[in-house]
Amino acid sequence: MRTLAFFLLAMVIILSACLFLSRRGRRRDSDGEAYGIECETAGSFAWDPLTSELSGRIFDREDSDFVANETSREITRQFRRARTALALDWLRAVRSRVNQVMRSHFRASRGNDDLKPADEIRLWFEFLLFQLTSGILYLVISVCGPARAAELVGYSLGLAAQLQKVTEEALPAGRQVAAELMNRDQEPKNGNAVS
Amino acid sequence: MASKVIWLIAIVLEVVPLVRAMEAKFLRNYKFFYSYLGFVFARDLWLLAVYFLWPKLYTYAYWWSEPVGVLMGCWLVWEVYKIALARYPGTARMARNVLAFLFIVASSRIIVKAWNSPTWIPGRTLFEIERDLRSVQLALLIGLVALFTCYVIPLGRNLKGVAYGYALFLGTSVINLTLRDKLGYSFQHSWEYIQPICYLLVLGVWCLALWSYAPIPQPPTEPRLEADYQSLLVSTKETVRSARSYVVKAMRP
Repeated sequence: MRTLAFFLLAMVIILSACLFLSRRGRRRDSDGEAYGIECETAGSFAWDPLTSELSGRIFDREDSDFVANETSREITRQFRRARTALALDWLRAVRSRVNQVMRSHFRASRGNDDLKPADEIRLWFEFLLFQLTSGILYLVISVCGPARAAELVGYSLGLAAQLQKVTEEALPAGRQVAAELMNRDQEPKNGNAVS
Repeated sequence: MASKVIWLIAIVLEVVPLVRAMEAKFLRNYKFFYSYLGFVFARDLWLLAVYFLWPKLYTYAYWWSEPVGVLMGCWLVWEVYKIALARYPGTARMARNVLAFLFIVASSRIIVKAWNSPTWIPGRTLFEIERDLRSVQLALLIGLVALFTCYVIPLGRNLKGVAYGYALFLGTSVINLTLRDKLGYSFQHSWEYIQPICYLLVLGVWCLALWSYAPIPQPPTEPRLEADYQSLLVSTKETVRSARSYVVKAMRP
């Protein structure tokens, strides 16, 4: 019985690993097709003005408030659900586009003699940061909806700006204090020298 | 009885890829892999003889031949790296750095354990030592496969089979050895079945993948670097950075 239990456990682990690898491979193959994105070179990340305006609109509270004031609760709920789906789709499209750019970069640089591992690792870090940011946003949008998520982002950014301001204000003061302390240390020595 | 049958099946399955490669004359294309397989085959025959003729010596014979297998496994990983990245010097350079880092990180644990041990042996039991050595190999192989995936390096059926099969072998070995080490003798009976069955699975992968020669496919058109690498890097970095700020900006109320 115990043998069977261990055997099953090992098999489950192995099969899930195989399944994960095969699914990942299939997803990689069809990733570019999903949004009709063609292979492009790095540096071409740009959205047309209409898409940019629309993306801003998805997270705007105005529409949501209008629907909430003019229609029933059920319709408002449906509208919010549709907006959440739209926002998530938009985020997925951005992520997919960045993935495509990264893949193009890797394809172009894999055979290059000049490749610098330290720079590549920095790029990976940058990409990881993007994935982390978009992942967190994805989670926040799915849980709170686009309008509240935007408020949360605005609040976080405001807080970050305030913190930066406080740090900037504190740093010169800190330097000044340090300079004063250094001067105080030197004063008696100078005084002694004079006397 | 069942474990002996599994053992015999494994010996047969070890011969199959060797014979196929000899027949189709592609033994030299993966010489370290076939050397490894040849060694494992010879070792199994030797252990079978010891098991039936001198059963008391079997444990010693098994554990003394195991480090050679681990060492030959390292050659196998090196061969995967060498063949797969022969045409991609950029990724090869990246792999050297990443693998060196992984090797230092993974082996430092063993060195620290040996340092702390009064006997200078990195582990309380042979299971623990083998598990640690296999873990280092697994870390290197995972790192290598991650790089292949990241840089979209085509491997071909043969090399993919060698790499994934060996990764499967290492993965199952690490799990089994950990369980054997932690649970002690109570797991021994299960281990006698699980380990060989997992090994049969690995041999099955190798038989299928190396049934015939499949060279590494060449991408039809390699994207040309219009500018130098540095400007490509700057451009990609800028794209990722701007995408991040674009997402955050779009969400700003």
